[in-house]
Amino acid sequence: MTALLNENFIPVQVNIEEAAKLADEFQAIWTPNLNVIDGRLKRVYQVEGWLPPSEFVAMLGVGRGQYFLRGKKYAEAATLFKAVFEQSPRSQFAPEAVYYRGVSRYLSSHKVDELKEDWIMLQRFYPQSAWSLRANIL
Amino acid sequence: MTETKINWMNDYEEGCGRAREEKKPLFLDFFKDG
Repeated sequence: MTALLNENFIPVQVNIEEAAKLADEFQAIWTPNLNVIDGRLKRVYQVEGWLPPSEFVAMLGVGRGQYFLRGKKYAEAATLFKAVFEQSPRSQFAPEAVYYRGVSRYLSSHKVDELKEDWIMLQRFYPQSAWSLRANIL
Repeated sequence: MTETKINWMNDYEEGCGRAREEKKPLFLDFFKDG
């Protein structure tokens, strides 16, 4: 977890009470409050609340995937999302990763079959997930 | 075994500069004492 964070992100930690203006800017009202910020200083991912280490690692994978997805680097995003559900299939972040892998692949290729492939897998392996519900349109 | 620590920065602006330089996402963690 430590190496993943140090190598792939610039980690910044601020006290919410001492950095009230920044907290207001990001509408941070609860801690822990974890945010992934892109080069335009836009938040691309946010999670509130404590996570055990294994979930934290999966969350970092999804957050990094969102960084590339929102930056329109779809192939990199798809690879990162795939790694999350392959390495952490039981994580609560796995269904979200499958959902957005489909989105990344579709936005890259505009082939609906690629979206369907992931979203069908989502409904098969994570039928109770809120992400499965969102993919129920196909 | 060497124990590694997260290289936390405490200055948001400085972190933004480094994130731009290194083309990496910034991971911003708001915390509260106690």
